[in-house]
Amino acid sequence: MKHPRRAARDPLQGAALAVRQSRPGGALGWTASCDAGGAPAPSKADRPPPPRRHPLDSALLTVLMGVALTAVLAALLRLLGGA
Amino acid sequence: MDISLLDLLLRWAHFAGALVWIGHNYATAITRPRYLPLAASDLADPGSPRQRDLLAREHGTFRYASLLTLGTGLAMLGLRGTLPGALGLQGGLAPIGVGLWLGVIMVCNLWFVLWPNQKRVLGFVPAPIEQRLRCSRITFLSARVNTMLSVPLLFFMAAGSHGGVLLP
Repeated sequence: MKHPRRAARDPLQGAALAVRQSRPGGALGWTASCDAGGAPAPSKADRPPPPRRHPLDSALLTVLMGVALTAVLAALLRLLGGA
Repeated sequence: MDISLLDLLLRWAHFAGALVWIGHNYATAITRPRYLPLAASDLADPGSPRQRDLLAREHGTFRYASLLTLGTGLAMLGLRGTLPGALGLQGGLAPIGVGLWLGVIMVCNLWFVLWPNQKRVLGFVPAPIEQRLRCSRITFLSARVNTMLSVPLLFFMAAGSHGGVLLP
């Protein structure tokens, strides 16, 4: 696989890459080009923004909340005892 | 059949069902510790990698395992004649009673919140993309609630046999 900047000199691929190079962000780097299977990947400016993660989506936080809930329920049981 | 043998078999099935059901939740939480929300493009194309991934995980085994777990748990308590006491959180049955109620909440969450929304996400029930995206958020939160509740559930299941220290 050619480096994207070298491939830009290729008459077959050059036109598409030239378009990319004229866009915000310039030419693709080696990693982005490999991710795209050697073909020019869409410019970051063209991609829709990825969906945003909620800060409370962490699995670790879920487990910690479970532990906290366990402590609360156990304390309630200890305080109130069996009905 | 001997009552104690039946109790043993029920307990075995109870553990196996719980492993399949809660193990499914834990596996998902471990493999996707930072959940990436679905995008409209994921749902619009039935062949998209995210859509195929969702369908591959949708086999229903864990939903039926939840019923097996709850059913065998109720049967064990019923066999011993302690079901009413556990449901009423009476005396020494209070710890396993708390576990029982948590299990009931989790099964209801799975069957009446998660599954109806998951059917829309997967396209089993037709719905517009916007609604399917909302449903995917609900299914995610519903699954995480069950993962969270499973922590105290396991604690109180253990406390049912070994939790005398919890009682005054």
